[in-house]
Amino acid sequence: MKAIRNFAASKINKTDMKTLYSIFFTLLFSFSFAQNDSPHLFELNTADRLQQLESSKIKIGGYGQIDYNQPLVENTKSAGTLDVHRVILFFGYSFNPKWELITEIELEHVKEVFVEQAYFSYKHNKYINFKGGLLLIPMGYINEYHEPPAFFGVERPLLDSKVVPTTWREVGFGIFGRIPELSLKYQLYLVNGFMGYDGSAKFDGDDAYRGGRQKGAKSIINYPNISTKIELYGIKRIKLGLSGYFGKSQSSLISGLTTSNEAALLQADSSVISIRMFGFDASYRYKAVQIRTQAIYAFNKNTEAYNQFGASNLGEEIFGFYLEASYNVFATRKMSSRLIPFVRYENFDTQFVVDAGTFKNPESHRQVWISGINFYPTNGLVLKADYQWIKTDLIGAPAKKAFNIGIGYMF
Amino acid sequence: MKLLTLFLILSFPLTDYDSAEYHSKWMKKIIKQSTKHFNQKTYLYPLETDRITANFMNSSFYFIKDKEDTVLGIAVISLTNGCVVGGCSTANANETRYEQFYILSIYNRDKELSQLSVLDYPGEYGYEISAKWWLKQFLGSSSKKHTYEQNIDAISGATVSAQSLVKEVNILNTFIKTMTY
Repeated sequence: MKAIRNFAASKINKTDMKTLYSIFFTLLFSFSFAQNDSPHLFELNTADRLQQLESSKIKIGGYGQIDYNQPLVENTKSAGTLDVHRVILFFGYSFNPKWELITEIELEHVKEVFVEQAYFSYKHNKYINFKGGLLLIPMGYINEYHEPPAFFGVERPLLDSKVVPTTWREVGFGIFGRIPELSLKYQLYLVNGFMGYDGSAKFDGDDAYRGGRQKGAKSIINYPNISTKIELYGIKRIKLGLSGYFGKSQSSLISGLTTSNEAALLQADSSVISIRMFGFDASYRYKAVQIRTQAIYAFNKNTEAYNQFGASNLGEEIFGFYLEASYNVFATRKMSSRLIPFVRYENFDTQFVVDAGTFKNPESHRQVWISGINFYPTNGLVLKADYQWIKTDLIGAPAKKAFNIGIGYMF
Repeated sequence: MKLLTLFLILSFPLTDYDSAEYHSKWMKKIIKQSTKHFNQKTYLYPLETDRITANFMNSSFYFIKDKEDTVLGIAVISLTNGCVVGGCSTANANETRYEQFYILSIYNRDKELSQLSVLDYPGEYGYEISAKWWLKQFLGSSSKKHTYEQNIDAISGATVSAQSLVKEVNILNTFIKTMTY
């Protein structure tokens, strides 16, 4: 190694291109060696080394949260809930530097088992890569960054539950990559859509699409949907995200239909809606201050027929946003722990616009104030406490208040 | 669809992650960047290994010289920890899960960090650190001590990569400060 370096260090004669090239390639070798001789690998024997190399291909991790939710109702004794909300086990494997498998197995409320992600990715280069399997739909911010240390408050923002049905994932494939010259990241996937009807209507006016998530479990496909997101990170202190989702819902009625059976076809048509959803998210970071906003707008077609056919009340248009501010008060104390008070205001309506035949429920419009603290004793571990206030348009109905405490982790 | 096909075709001749050409491309990049930076033709000379302490086993140091053999500065390539696979909101001691990336630092004769760039970033998360505005915060005297969330802005979704880079630059600064060239 040293000999190679010494040889390479001999003076370069600029007129001798051959020498220049040979030194150049020697440098390359020297450089390659330098990368492999990490202090960890250098002192190991072959078996240890192989084992380490092999284990470095396996990735194990996880995240989870345990919550205490206490509704606060005046003059009423209310029971709180203690919930092991989710425990997620992450397993990944790098077959080689290009091919990788990522899986996340979720245990929700202790006994419900889900696969949250399971996909293969092929890393071609920074510009274009491929992914296929059970994918997260890139809509807004939280659906992709849903680990407890990544968001403020014990529970995820309500907008990311009632409008964006976090964790929203479906089977699909597509491309992703970056264009560093433009400081841009993109994702473009063809994915399976929501199940809109499987004997009963799966969408409603309270939490819109949440009941229609197929999650890759024997999911039915009639119409593939398109999911895309562009993120811009080149503007000083600002990160912007623009998401889009376009397609139709799936229906169990579209199965074994003969094209001549017009009545059945019409019925099947009434069980399907088309969805156009747009998301905008932005974050501003200045030193230890963070301000984040997100807005989601969705437009559904054929809701009149769908609501009549399935006796549902899905909104024709859905709109909501939130604004959140936080500050790490420990930032100036050179401490590795972080104490971050935050406040968030959410405003969303799952029946922002309804079709002529659908009753607009005043409780579909919700305003949420939530304030609390995230305390990170160390990276990856977070203790949370917050107070939540939810008000709907229902006249005379008091605001719902709740106090929440939680522990979240990620490793 | 045509556009997509064209995009795919155009993308294929581009870089691979682990090929010799990839490293070659980097070396060319260093020469190109230092030539542009010092506004003249430059040559790279590896630094003698005995001058490099154990802190820098994952770094390669090069003198940047002009045609008269005068030292213009120092270029350093360092392997740095990126985000863990599957997310980037938390740091972790288990190094095997990091997606590592290379940074290029160029110090001038006044021992000022005059250029800092991310050579490539393989991970799906944490790429925001390659933004020019963020890297600019590190430029200047090697006596500067950088602190995440104080004189260096935090980045959402890139906590690990950002903190690794802060640490790396601080170590490099300390070393460069003590050097004579």
